[in-house]
Amino acid sequence: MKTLGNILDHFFFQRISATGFGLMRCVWGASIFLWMGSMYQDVIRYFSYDGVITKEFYPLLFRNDYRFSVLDHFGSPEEVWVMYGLLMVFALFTCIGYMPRLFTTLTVLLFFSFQERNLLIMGGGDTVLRNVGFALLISPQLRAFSIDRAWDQWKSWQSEKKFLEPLTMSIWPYRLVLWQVLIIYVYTCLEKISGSMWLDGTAVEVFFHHPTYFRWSKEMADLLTIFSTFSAYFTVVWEMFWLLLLIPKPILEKFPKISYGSVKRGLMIGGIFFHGGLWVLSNVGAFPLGMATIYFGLLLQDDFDAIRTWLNKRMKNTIAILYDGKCGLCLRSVFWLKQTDWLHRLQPVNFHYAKLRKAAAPDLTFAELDKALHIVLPNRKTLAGFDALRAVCWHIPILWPLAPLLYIPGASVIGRPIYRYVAARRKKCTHENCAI
Amino acid sequence: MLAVAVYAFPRAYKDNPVLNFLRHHFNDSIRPYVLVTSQWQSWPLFAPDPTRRVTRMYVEYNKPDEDWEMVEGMDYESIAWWRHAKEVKLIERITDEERIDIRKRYLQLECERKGITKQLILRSKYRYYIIPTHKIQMPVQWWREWEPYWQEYADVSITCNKDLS
Repeated sequence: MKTLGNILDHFFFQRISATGFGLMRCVWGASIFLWMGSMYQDVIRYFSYDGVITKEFYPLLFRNDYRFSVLDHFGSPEEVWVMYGLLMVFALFTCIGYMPRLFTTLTVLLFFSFQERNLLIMGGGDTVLRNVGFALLISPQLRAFSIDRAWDQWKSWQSEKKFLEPLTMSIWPYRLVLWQVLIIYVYTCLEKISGSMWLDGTAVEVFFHHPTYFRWSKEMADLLTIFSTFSAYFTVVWEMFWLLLLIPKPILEKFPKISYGSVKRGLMIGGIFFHGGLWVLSNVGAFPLGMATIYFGLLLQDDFDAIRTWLNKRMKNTIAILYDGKCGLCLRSVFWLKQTDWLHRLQPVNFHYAKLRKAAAPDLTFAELDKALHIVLPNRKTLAGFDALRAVCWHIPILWPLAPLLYIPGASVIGRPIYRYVAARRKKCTHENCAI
Repeated sequence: MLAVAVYAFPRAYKDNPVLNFLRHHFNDSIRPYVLVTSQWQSWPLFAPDPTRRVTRMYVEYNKPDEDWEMVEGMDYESIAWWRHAKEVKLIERITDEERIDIRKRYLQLECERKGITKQLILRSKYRYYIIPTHKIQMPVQWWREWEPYWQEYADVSITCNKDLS
């Protein structure tokens, strides 16, 4: 009995990293903002009493029990605009993680209300986003990847010069999301094999030639027909393979060179190609967006480690960042670099400590280091100032979109003097505030 | 987890005895939970077979003693890409016979949207064709030579600037 209790306790309450769910909350908020934002021209037509669905159509379109929508009570065009505006603001707050529990709950409430108000426009992607919203709503931990958490970290960094322990949570919300993903893939596969065209391998060529879904020209559809049979079988087999994740980990790992995590990551990589391809080729609404969002909830610490190892394959050493430990601006910059150094590639070194400085950059003098930020790359190449900053951008995932922009012609002509201006005045900053 | 799984089980297997047993005994408990939490769902994505019917709706107007003309900007092709998925779903889902009044309402909103205040008659017109299918994948050349065979029919009509009767 005790063993059964232990098994159940482990199954539902094993501690896992909360990072995956934090990321999922962040991406979900952004997805809701984008998806609902794409309806701004149709808000009144779709959701108000003055729109397509007037009150007289309610009995025809809606179930009459166990249904709730805020818009049933605030249905005039003006009220719907207010609710829509609130939803957009709440979704943004959810994305950045400002009071994540409160604003995730409010976003879920309003998003569900908009969906329940007009079922005629809903597709699979809307359902996935709704499922993710529900998982977030009941999840015990939403603070990872939030500005609230960053603030807590900043306070800890200021007072104790160290970061807080990583957030963890019980595993059951992860299992709920995994179960939801299995339902989506396995059930759609069962639906497909109950017909004939997926088994004949002809479903995809019809899909390619359906201009409602296929984005590109008929000529392109004709050409892609050669992949039809392969794509149909790949879809069905890959969807059914998700059942492998129901096999208990100890049994699955009895097979040589197979780990539960690698099977899951393999299926997810297949999903990235599948949904990415679907998004490029076709107009299927929010489905690729919804699936991309739910995938973040499937990431555990093992997965983050595996992704980091893969991305760091060519990195033989860390990048030393020599900073001024007596300057408030530099301390804050180092805080943010450490916070966003998800690939564990940066090694900040306070150059006021001579021993550390000489170990990291024996050729650089104190005077040189005092003029600008210096970095020492794994190949021992040294960069300073603006050039150092833009090189660092390539190693911080959140700055990847910015990195190429810093190399466009003229960027360094503007960037270097700005850097020099800020660096010269950096000592005016304290750890608490800055007035450059 | 079990409730969602039972509620969402594919319709194609509705005769499955295990599923029938579960639904028969637990539906009264499952249904409120699934509906209240908005966890209802079904996943017939392009299944059991992808739809082969391609439908286009156009809106036309009629001036006295003149032929029907298409209202500019109300044809299917002019729907912006970011509105496409939702608007197409809406149009397709109101084509049922029992939703004829919703189609009239749709047209009435089109009157308002285009600012048509005169007493013009507006009607929806559907064009459609069926994509052929075979037991095997057809060669590229076959598809290059294939041309859709469009058919069309006029649907409901309303008079702009008049209440829906």
